[in-house]
Amino acid sequence: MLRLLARRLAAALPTLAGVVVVTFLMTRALPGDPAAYFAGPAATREAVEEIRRQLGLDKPLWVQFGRYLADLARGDLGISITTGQPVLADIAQRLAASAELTLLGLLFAAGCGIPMGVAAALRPNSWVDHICRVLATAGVSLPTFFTGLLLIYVFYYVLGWAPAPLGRLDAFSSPPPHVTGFYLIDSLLAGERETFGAAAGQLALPALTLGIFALAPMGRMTRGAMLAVMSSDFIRAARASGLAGRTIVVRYALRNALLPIVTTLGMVLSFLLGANVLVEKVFAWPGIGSYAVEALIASDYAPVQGFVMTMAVLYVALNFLIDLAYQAIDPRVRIEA
Amino acid sequence: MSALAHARHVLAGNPVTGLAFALFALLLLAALAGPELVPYDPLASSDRALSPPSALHWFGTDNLGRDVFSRVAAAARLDLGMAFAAVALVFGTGTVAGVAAGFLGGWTDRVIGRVTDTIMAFPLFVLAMGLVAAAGNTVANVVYATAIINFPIYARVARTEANIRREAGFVEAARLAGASTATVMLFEILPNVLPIMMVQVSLTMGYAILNTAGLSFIGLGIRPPTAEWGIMVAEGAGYIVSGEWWIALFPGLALMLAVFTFNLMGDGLRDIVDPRRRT
Amino acid sequence: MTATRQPPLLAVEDLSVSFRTRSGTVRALEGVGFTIARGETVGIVGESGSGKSVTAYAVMRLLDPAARVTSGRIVFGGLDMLAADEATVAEIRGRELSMIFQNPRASLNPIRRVGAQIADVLVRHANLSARAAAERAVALLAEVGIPDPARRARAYPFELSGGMCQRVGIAIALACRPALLIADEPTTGLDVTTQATIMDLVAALGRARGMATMLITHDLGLATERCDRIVVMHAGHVVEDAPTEALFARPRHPYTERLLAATPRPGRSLADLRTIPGGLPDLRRDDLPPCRFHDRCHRRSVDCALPPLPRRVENGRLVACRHPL
Repeated sequence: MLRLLARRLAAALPTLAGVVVVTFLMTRALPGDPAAYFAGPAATREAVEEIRRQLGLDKPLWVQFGRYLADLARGDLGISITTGQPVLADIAQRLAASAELTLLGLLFAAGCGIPMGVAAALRPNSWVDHICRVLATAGVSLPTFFTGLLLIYVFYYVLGWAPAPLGRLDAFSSPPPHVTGFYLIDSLLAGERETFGAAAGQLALPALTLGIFALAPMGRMTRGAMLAVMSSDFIRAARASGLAGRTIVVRYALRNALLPIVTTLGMVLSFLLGANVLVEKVFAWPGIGSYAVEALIASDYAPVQGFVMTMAVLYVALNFLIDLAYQAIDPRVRIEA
Repeated sequence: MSALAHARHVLAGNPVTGLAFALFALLLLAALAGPELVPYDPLASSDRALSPPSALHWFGTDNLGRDVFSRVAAAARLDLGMAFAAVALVFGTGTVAGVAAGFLGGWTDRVIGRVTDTIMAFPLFVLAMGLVAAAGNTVANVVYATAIINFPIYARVARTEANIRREAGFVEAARLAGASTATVMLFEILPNVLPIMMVQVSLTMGYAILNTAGLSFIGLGIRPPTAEWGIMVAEGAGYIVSGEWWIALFPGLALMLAVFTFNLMGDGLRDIVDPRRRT
Repeated sequence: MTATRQPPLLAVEDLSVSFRTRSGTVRALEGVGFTIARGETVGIVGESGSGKSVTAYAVMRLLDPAARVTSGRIVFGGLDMLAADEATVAEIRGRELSMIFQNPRASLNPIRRVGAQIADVLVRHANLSARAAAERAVALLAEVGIPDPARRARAYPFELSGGMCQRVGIAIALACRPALLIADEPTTGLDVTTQATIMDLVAALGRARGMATMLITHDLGLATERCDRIVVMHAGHVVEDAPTEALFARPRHPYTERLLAATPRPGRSLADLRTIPGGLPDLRRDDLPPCRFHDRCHRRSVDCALPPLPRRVENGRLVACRHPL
């Protein structure tokens, strides 16, 4: 088992290498003067030259790459001009906010999308099926930022159910003692029920926005996978054994359908991590997405680079986890490997 | 059954696809003639700021008194144009690369595979952000970035198709007749792969539109005061919380309509070209 | 088996089934009727596409959603299978009436251990606890001749050979001691030696439990070896129904005669085998002749314009032909 893990990890390494190389090239090899980027728009010519010397941008490319790798190993992602802090510190501070949001969105998407897909597959061409398919296509067509704004308008402005989209907590609450960085978990751990309520309230709309976006591919994939599985021989054989409907759908069909669904998760995550940026901007969420967007507007370059790198590494790590999950579900991969 | 008759047969059985084509015609009209036909100048401000939809201003006015309807209709050219440029670019490069990878195999396949995998290692929108930020905040770079992040899917589909047809009879025949590898690729494989790639074009047009709009929403690409659906939503975002919903709603709806149309069209085209793959 | 005056275990009467497809309505079964008595082994024989499997699925009420039973009755153990509700039928399936399939590995859940799959049926029908079911599953695996059953119970189908998968299938089907086992081409996907052992196993288990068997096969030779009675089907019709020896000795339907002539037997060389001309008619046609063998038959006459309703010939024999041998 451990050997399998090691082998899978080794397979992920070339991808990580690719990520590092690309992020490096993105800053050094693209048109424009990297030094000017890092120095910022307000820098004087001397300041730009100073930065150029400091960051070694006057050295040959391969020397720069070596330096880049060394910096990465030290965790040095540069300094943000706007905050004045090391980028890594900024990101570490804000990562939990993004993670909590994205995870909740994913949970919502899976929690609604999968049952919807199952329901649609069990009654093909019924009105349930058609509604699910229309919802799915509509969900895919809506820009995430637009969905977010719509939700704010309906639930905050019109109905007044949701709190003002001002960030992770409302004006009256303060963050719970830091354990994981996830306000929902930390507030429960500290027994602060009002904080939990406040955090949950603020999380509702942005998580819903993200969730709606991911709901569509999950629902569609579940429907397709379930349809394929339900028409297979072993399902017919299970029915011939008189097994109860629920046993067949959940234990026999859905578990098998989960395999292609889990594979889709990778793609869904790619979309989610991108949509995360847009949602954070709409809801003023203090995560790494809005960090990057603010830095972009201020032409503060190092945070953007750090952000891309972090997201990519996260994505590789999550894909690795998905791969492991797949193997946990499918014994054929596990045993034959 | 001729191709046209087959197409008509499918459309008859699927009125939704017919609707999609009709909407596409409408969008095309807006893109081609929109800026010339709109009632107001999209850039002209007035003193009737923030007025809700009325007979005078069908979609209301924004914070600078500009007519939202005119801006939305005029923006069609820009949004559709950018998406189309990106898709055309990636269609050309992705198809050729994919066909080469699938047909030639070996090193070509491995290199192109590596490029594709590297692109896919990033969450795609994030990669686009990074590319535009690195290369400079221009419209051209937004188009290039959108093309790059769509490259993997085109290359992959083309590669699969080329792979399937590699051993086909007509390919053998061409080779025996003395055609060079390049000729076989260009004149035998490519034309066969095109129909499926066209389906892919329609499906990714929607995604490209969302992408360019998303990038401009966060300030990359088009800049105010140009009328573009993404920045219009961004400009209208601040007014949602005070109840002026029309500034962001109509450009958002336009976006949704465009993407929806291309998705439906893509599904319909797929039914025409390859009904086996129907979802 | 001596014929007793008991009501038959399974009675199929005048069954007609159609399928709606994109290219038309397929009249898959028309007027199919036969009976199976308790403990009897009946073979349903015919070419691919003759409707044998459709009949089996109709009996189990496992037809495709696109299928329509347009007429007929299926009575199993006194229960009208077509009129009963799904819950009642689900109770019977796996307990009184079960099935084994042509592709044994594809008929098992690929990501569930085989012991667990047997236990599922036991928990469902025999009301056993999970642990008791697991133990009984191991015992069943031993009964079907799988060596080292305790270890094998934890195996996944992909780790077992085709023959072993079929044994597992048999264990599942026989777990609750059904009165009737439907075997749909159970050995077609297996090699010859395994075929014989599997058939022996089914026969032995059947005999020991007084179980009836409906053996579906395209192999007339296999049917004559294993069955008490044979029902010959052609293009959705039952054409002949007779005890094996009588059928073998003296076929009455021209199609049966052709089938026998095309079946390899010891003592016959390949050169002796004769093919049956033509192929099955297209069952979507509106102008199907009343006798669906008409176009391929060398004995067709003017009488054949009338429907060939099944008629009793000798004791226990039925032929559906206007011009029988």
